[in-house]
Amino acid sequence: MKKIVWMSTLILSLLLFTLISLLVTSIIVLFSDSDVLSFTQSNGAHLWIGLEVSGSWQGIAQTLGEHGFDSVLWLGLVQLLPFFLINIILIRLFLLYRCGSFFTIENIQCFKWLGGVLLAQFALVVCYPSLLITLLNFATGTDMGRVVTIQDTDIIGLVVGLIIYVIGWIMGQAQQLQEEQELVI
Amino acid sequence: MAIIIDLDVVLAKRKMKSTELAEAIGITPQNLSVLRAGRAKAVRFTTLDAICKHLGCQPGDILRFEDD
Repeated sequence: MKKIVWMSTLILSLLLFTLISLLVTSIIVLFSDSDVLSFTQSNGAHLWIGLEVSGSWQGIAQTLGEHGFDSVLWLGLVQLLPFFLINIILIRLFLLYRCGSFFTIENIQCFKWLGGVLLAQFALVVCYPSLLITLLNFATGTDMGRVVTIQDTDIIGLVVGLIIYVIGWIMGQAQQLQEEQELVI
Repeated sequence: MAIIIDLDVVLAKRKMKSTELAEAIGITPQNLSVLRAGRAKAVRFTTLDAICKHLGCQPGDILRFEDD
């Protein structure tokens, strides 16, 4: 039990650090002119803080950039949304583990949400760029081509999401069995 | 539920407290309370055997079926 509490505390601090970094990066992108803030120290060390569009949205980001749209604002911040949610769900899950709660309804809910967010992330990756381009074409009169790009990492995300959702569902069944077992006298 | 538990009646007839019975048959008073309240999903034969042995009764004295 002590080991679990110690590990959960360690993971919680890492998750909190990641969440704060994500928040700081988003605020920097929202309130500064540049997507990347560069700091150079007198000893020659460089530090960059910023956000860039990654994965299967890079092509769309390039297209948006060519037509004068801020790709980081339109795509980068949206790309961060699932990570925010995943972070918050994991923080909740490890808080429960730290409190010694392992197979409760709250834990099962966390697994189901986690799987759901990963599945929704795949839907977002597939649908959002096309919807955005259609909307921007309609609103500004530009003619950007709609492209749906799926990378292997997106497919892996989908599979992992499905697996986590099924694990959550199985944990729910196990919890029901445990509840019934408690009522066997 | 259609199965009615008459354990309270048998206990009253024997003038025995539920805590005494729980201790005698080796289950917790909480579990016996679940059984008495009719919230139990199942009763083990070993538990039923111990109850019948200590109360000197038949399973039919404790359990009864009543159509809903």
